[in-house]
Amino acid sequence: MRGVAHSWLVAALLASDVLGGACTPPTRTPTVNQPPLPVLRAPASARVGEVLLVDGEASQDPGGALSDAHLLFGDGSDPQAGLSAEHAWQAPGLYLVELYVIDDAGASARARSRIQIDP
Amino acid sequence: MALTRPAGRRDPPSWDARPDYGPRVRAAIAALPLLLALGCPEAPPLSLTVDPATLDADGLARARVIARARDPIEGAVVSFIATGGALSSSSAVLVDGEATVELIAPLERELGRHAERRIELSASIALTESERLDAATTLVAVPPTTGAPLIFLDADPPAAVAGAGGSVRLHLLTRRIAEGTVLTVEAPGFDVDSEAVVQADTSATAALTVPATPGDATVTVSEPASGASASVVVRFVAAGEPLFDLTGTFAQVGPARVKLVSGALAPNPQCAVAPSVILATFVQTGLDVQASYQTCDVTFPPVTSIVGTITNRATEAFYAAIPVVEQRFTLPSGELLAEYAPPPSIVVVGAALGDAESEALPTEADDPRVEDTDQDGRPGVTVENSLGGLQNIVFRNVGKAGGRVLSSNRIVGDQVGDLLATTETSVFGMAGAFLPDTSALGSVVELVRIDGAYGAFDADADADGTLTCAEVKDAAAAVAELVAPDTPFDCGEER
Repeated sequence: MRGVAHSWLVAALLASDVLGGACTPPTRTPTVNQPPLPVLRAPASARVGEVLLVDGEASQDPGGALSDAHLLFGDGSDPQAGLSAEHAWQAPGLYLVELYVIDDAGASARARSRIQIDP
Repeated sequence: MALTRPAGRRDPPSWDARPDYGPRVRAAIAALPLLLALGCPEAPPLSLTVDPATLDADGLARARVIARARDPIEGAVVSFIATGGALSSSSAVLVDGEATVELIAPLERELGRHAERRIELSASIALTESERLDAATTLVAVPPTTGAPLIFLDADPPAAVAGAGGSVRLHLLTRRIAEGTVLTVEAPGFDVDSEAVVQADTSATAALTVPATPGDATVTVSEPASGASASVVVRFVAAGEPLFDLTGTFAQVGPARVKLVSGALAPNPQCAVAPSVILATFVQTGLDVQASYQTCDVTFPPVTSIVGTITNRATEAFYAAIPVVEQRFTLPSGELLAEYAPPPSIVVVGAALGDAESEALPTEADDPRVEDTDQDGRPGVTVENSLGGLQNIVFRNVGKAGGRVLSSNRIVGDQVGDLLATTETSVFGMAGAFLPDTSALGSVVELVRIDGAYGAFDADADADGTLTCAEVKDAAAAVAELVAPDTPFDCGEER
């Protein structure tokens, strides 16, 4: 009886394996440049005038290299070139911080975060 | 003759005698013939989910946005787009078939007076120059139940002739203010009800008496307990003066509708809505208006063809390449509901034509009229097409937007046909053969002041004194009220 049970189970598993194999196409690899991967780290909150590090150093480009990056702080101040910068917000509010990165093939990507500035 | 069984052999087990493998195994075995007949189960190559699907618009709440690839793809990066809120990243690498980012909720101001705002999310993977996987889903942002009270204020009519008698009705809408709350109403130098009481439906009203002499009344309504307030400016003018002043900045929101005809489409024809957002700036002198229109966003609707769904995307450089349209026109009257009918705008991008309105578009990249308008090193302007990859095109858009001036803050074209926009496109290369013929279907359009003047919405989110297209698009989502007429995908009655 045990042998019969095994043969039915093996048949079912084989069939499912055959089916599964038929339904799994070969792994593909994109042949075009993939966009860069921005990573933005910033505190969720701080106080007015407090100097904070906005860190995008973990950003990367999967198929090449980053060629340009700049940061926006959401308070009307000038954009800052580079992946990281220190910044202090001068008024309370909820600000949108943005990191733009561009790779050496011209593709761009953006990471965003919000920071609450308290009095 | 009786058959006897050789020694050592056993009868095959009856079904009942077979061991109990459990319901899952039995179901799998029973389904084998069906699975074999049907082949592999069909799932979309790329799917997109968001959790939660509803988010408080507090600027802080987050939803997880997950793209899943059906088939293994090595080294792929998923690109994400959201029409509202803020994505933690516009790209994420595919790991074990999944890529995850977060959507940070929009601010409540981005909802405007709407009870909710739908945010469209899309994800894509570029596999080759001509193949891309796409997926989309929707999230709904709703007003937060906690937070500071909020007041919206409108005047009806928004202007009147001084000395004409009567009063202006002040309409209030509130959020997170209890029924029965007494709001303070002030308009220094003018006669106005001093209080308004919040009703069960969150509304309230007050009256402002039309003065004997001209002047702008700044009405401010506030809730003393929280300090929440809202203002509106009501114009009282001398007889014969325009009742409105359009000078300032507006968002023009137009859900243009188009009909596409091509043998490559399935079904053929197809009808679609292609919303656009334009930054309109006016200087009004008497009844003369000097206007400029800058295109900030055009949504290309997906179409279904005999080879599948085709989507198009444009880069920021594409929009930057669209020239600003300058126009001068004269309004027929200064009364409220005056006709707003600027001349049609004609825009050609990607080529310099002697006659922008009627000259045939170039069809070859080496045509001397072709220009690299978006300065990306390719002829014409570049859009990304899910079927054809990067497409270098020249296009001509002829648009006509009209309506009625409701106030200094709002122009509305709510009659189907008030907006008519057609686009003619020339694609360099083979893909041009599959381009559909496009014709305009009538739609509606509205222009809403977004510069904060006259108590209007102020789109300058970062308070730097300038409006970017990103700010204009956010504002448009908050202030737009008209929706496109029904547009059946297969054109329905329009066929």
